[in-house]
Amino acid sequence: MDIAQLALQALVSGMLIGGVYGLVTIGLTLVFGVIKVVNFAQCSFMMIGMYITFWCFKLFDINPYLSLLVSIPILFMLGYLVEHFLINHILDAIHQAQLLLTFGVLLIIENGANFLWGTRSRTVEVALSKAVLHLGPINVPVLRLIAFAFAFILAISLFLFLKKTDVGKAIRAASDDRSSAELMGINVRRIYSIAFGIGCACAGAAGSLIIPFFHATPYIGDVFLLTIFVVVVLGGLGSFFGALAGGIIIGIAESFGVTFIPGGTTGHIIPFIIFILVILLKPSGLFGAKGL
Amino acid sequence: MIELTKLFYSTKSRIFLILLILGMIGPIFLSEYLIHILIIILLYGYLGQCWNILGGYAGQFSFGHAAFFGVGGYFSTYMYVKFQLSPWIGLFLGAILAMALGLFIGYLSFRYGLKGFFFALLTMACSETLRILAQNWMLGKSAGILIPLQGSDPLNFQFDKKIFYYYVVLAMMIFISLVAHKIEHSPLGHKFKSIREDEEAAETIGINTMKYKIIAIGISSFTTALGGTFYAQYILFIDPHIAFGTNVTVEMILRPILGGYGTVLGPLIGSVILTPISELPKYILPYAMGIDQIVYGVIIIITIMFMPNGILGLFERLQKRVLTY
Amino acid sequence: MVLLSLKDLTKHFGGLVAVQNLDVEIHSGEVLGLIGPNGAGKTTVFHLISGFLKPSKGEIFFKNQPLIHLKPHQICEVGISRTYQIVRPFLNLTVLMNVMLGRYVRNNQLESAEKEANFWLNFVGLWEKREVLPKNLTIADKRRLELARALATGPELLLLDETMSGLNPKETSDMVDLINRVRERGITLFIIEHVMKAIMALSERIIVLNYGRKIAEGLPQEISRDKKVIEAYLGEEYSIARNQ
Repeated sequence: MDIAQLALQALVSGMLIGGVYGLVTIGLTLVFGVIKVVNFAQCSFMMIGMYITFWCFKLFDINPYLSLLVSIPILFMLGYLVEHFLINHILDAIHQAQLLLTFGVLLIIENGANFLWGTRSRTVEVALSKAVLHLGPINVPVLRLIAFAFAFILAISLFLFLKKTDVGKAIRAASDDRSSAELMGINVRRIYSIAFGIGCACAGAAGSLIIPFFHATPYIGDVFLLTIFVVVVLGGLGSFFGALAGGIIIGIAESFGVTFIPGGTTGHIIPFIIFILVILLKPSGLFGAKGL
Repeated sequence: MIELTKLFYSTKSRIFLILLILGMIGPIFLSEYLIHILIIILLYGYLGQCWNILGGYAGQFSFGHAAFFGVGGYFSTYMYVKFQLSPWIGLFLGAILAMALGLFIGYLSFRYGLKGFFFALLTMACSETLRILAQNWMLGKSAGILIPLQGSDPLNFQFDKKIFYYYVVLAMMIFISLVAHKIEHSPLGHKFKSIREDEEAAETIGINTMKYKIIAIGISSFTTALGGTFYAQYILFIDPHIAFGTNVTVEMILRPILGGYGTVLGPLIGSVILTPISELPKYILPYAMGIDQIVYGVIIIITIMFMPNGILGLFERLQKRVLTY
Repeated sequence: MVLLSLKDLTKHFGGLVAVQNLDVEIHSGEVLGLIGPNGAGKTTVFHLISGFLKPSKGEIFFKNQPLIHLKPHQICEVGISRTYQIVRPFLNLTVLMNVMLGRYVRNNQLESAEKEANFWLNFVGLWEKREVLPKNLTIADKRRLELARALATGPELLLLDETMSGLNPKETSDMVDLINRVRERGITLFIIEHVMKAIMALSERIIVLNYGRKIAEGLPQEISRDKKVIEAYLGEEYSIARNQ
């Protein structure tokens, strides 16, 4: 394979994973937009999604994509409860308290997973695992394509949900102006819990989508957090579109890094380097990191 | 925090003196294991205070302080193993390197006044990145570096008896406490606190918040690195996980948060309580990895929700209730 | 002497224009009032002067020195201080410490800064409460604290943003007295206020803003009779009814 082919391959590969990054970031963005809290544990919830799908596959032979029907509700419930019992109490605290709280949740989730399932890496082998679509000179792994497609569909569905449904509108109202929303009879606390649940569900869904071609370990969230963070800086914690676009850009950058830089996992620091460049040159991010 | 120190100065300093004497003489009568526990308590108390200067006083919460710890540890170890440079010198030079890193990170994040979450993740990203780099490029890679055991070699920071390490870390603890005390009772410290409370309002009254945040991270990163070198010399080993792993950062953050952030005694109190607690699960469930981190997570959550000013804060609240009776 | 001048000052927030082509001159020693309906852009003007917002267009000069490229803390150093519409004391620091922090910009020595802070605490009447935490103060005391803190920075120009907000009539009248005493020390004042009685009593001149534009400027008596001003506050119909 010559360089051009490698590059093209990296481009496509990166784009596909970028969609999934976008989905995770959308969840983060939603929560921040509504509750003004940054969920440090977002990628740990993603890890839970990965494990749920793994166990569904291993114990019940459920197809990973079907297991979305399991992981999404579970993660939603989990997020709802975390918000309801923990985050709700510190809504008015200084932001450092919020950082610490979600960090505490991260610790519990990751190490809980370690305690329950150990550090052995898990993955899911599906019939299509090795399947590759040949588009001209590029090999497109089918699973990545499916993951991208699902991520995209979920993102669009969420967007429509927020725009058209009553709950969605209530969420948008609560995020704009909490006291006014309360005066209009909206149960803001419940809306917050729902929003957080949705945010975690996004992460969980992303996890389910990538486990067919990624290895799950309890601490995999740490690695993703790094990447997602760069997506946030790039795309801003304000817009869906920014999150998706940022995700794709970072996915591509990371893919290039892994392909062309020697040294195993070193390629993963490419997003970090991009991030430093963005900060030095255009600190408001490419899409305007408003509200960050 | 209300400066009750002014009211209780003589009593507190008397207690401090007694503890100091106990601290210096007591360990002579203790077993090697207990001295080890004391060393860990003091080391993490020290590191906690280093973090506290940036986090508790100036309000900038770093979630990747391991980066400075690891830079210190790796630098002195590398220089010693490769060039036989005495770790005492490596200690100092490594701290300068870590400080350079800290100033760089500070400059990046504080330049545009980007908010707390941003800084928290930037620091986390930094320690993660360093961990990955150490795994792939550093001497020893994942396996780490073993420091050759010389027995007693004080000039190269090696002692045959634990008690000497104890005295070193005790001195470090006293040193950082004096630093914190000086900060607490100076315009510098007051400005740190104002930045923590309300950065914009601080700017409005003429405080150059960027400058002071940079000073805070400079002090914090330098002192944290010293702890890194100490630890490497104490266990005669360093690897990417020990140097840059999240657990180091968590230990550092938990002490001041539990004990009382933005205070001189908070980190030490936090360490005195936390260290035994973290040792316990290792006895009860020795094969369960990560149990102590789960406990930490729970402690963080409980502390944030029910005693946001830590144990010292709780103590103050109780004191006030008693006084107003 | 013209102390502060705003020239063609404009600020956009995306599609929203908060302040439009504003020209204002404040003379040394004067008390200038700034009034206007809610959302007229008054606080935005203060944000622009104190350096928290950068103007989209226009200039700000203080003693002939341009301000718009200065950072907020530099603007304080130059001699401009402000208070906030919603008070922002340092909640976990004592009253004394709050004011000392204001003093540090002029005097970085702990002991003498403390003495000078105590002077200002006395001036506003908070000396007895100097060891109290702001969260245990009444709103009137909190406002006095913020005033003391701003005064401690030794300003030539003080921007006061709705200092009477939330005060009862007695507290309001006390605050008016206090502000007069500030003015007697030679400090120039630029005051935003909704309590008409207070601002009419305090100001030598008044500027009226509506939808970001200056719609009137003049002596208090003139302003209270100005048709455009009445319209802005009460609507066109009231103005017409009144004139019949």
